[in-house]
Amino acid sequence: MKIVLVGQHNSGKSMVFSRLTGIDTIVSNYSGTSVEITQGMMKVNGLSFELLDTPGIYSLAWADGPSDLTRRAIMDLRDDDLIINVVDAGNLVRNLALTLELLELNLPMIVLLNQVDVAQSHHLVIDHQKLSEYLGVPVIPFSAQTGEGVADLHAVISKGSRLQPGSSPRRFLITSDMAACPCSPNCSGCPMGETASCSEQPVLDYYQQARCLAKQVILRSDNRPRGLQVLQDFLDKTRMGSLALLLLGLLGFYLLLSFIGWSEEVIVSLFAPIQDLIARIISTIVPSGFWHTVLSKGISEGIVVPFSLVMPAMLMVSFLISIIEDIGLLPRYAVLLDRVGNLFGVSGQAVIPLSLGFGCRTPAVVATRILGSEGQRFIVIALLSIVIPCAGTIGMLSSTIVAFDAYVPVIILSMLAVFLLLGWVLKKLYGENEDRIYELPPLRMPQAANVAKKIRLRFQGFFTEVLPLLLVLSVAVRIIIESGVLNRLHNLGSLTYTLFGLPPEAVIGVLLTIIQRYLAPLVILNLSLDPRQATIAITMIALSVPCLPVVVMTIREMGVKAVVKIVGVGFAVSLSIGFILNLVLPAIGG
Amino acid sequence: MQEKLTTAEKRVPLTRVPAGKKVKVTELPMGGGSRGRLAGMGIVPGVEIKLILAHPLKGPIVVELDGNTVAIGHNLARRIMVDEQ
Ligand SMILES: Nc1nc2c(ncn2[C@@H]2O[C@H](COP(=O)(O)OP(=O)(O)O)[C@@H](O)[C@H]2O)c(=O)[nH]1
Ligand SMILES: [Mg+2]
Repeated sequence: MKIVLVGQHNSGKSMVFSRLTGIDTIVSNYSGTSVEITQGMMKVNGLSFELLDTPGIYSLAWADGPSDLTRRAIMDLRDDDLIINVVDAGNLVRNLALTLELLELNLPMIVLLNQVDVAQSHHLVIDHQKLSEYLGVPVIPFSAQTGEGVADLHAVISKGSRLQPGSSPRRFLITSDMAACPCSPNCSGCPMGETASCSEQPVLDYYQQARCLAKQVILRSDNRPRGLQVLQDFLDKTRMGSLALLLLGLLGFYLLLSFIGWSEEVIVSLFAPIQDLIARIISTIVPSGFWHTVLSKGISEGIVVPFSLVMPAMLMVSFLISIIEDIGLLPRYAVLLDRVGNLFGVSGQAVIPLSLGFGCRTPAVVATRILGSEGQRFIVIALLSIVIPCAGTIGMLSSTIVAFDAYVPVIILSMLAVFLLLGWVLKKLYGENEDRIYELPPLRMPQAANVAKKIRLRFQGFFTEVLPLLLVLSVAVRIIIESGVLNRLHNLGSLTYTLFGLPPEAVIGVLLTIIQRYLAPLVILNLSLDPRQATIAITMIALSVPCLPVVVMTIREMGVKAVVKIVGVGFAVSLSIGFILNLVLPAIGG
Repeated sequence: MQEKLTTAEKRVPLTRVPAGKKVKVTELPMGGGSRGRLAGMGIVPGVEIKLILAHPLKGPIVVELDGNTVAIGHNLARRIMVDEQ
């Protein structure tokens, strides 16, 4: 037997899935968090069941993008499978409209009345027994957060009987109680607009029924806005609210950058004794000479650099993004940036993958699935790959900037200019003025446990990817430097100097960005560059090709052709920005 | 297109509705995925929605129904016809 979690967007399916299987999933407060079906095992009284978490779905009749995966998963169900319909108790009408539609399938079903903890704190009382009578399937008050209702669910599943909705008198009951409602269930009396098509008729029906049903099962509700609701009304319903969001965003960026600058010093000083120790251990093992220099410098740099330059940025970005996500601010920024998005031919929704990209670009590429069309996805992935600095990149870039006294405004302005220009060009090629619809979820208090879990998920890559890669490459880079290969490049110097005003070694550093952007500064940090040269090199690194993991992910999501285009454009952008800066930046001291 | 409407009702695009007003949806633009997405949220002809806020500079129009807040891009809102009562 297979069990599928089905529900409206943001009703809590993924959190229920985590609760029931113990598997970590990404849970966030906006529609479109889950874009794939996740599979897990759920144990009930010693029996194992396969449990599927699915992307949210409004209605079986209107399932596009990720929702279509859900629709297909439902269509594949057999008579002995089970649907667990996750319903947000705080948003009954919309959720029940889907429930009513699902009942038509006549498959075994259980309704989880989720988020009852929130409902309780809002003094919302729902008569779940009455609801169960109307629907003809078990309705279980549940909280994915507190675990309330898990035992009840297990009991119902292990009993296994009476889950088929078919025999229920629900339709009759709803109809007979609907006298007070403006429309009859078949909506014969509804003043429908003349363009309403047949396919919308059922939707209107389900919603009308759901409204009636909700009215009857909500015993008590308190609509007075309170706490977060007051803040939500301010942000969503007033112009000042938009201004406040904008200021908050700027403050967030400022906080991030100052934290990175401040933490580096602290960590470097903390690591100084460790570096000494490593150097001493290596000198006792390896006699002085070529390998001694390579290992002692390579390994200590390979350890200190990730911890001091990459770790703080990764941690802080993971923290900020997780908080912003869980409060429910991302869709609000999407609305705010809708007008900017129009300039690029993308929905304001693009703000979600783009801001996730500041953490790590690889998952951000997957997140582009919430965008409406392939064209928009390509634009956003290209901007992500070429322009948006991930946390690791931000850390490395800011440290090289400090080390060489490079011109920060030039670098930031170049990045902005490329972002705007590239966005504009891509819009001309791939953009479309497709219609935008943004859903604004309720604001929530971020839960420490969930935030911690997401920081952990996002930060894992540091130990599995960043640290080992940087360690290995740091030694490799040392070998190159110490072996004197770079010196032999000097006859290329005239070329690289004319083109970019840079020594050939620095250009090698730039080319290293193919592997991983934040590796390039390893080379750069070992060169002696003046501030002007450093500015050019850093800008070229900041604006270049996607790193390997992003390339792999983009192939998976968009195909090889898209990646080839993006890498090509990335190279072109990087080389031209170096060339242009070399032309326009005044020579040093002149 | 001229139509006879009852004296109390006026048919206008959603973008012309003042904030705070409740209106009834009468026409949605034909074709495209947006019609389906609107329908999925219960925004279909016949339903009543409340206009909350129109963002300046042709920004999204924020509406409310069944306690949910939805922002609709200007370009789409322009083509949604509603009756003011
Ligand atoms: N307080 C509370 N919050 C919940 C509960 N279930 C889900 N949430 C929150 O609701 C939001 C959406 O949850 P998620 O599982 O991502 O929803 P999905 O889109 O249906 O998968 C997140 O912010 C969760 O923290 C619950 O039972 N109680
Ligand atoms: Mg989910």
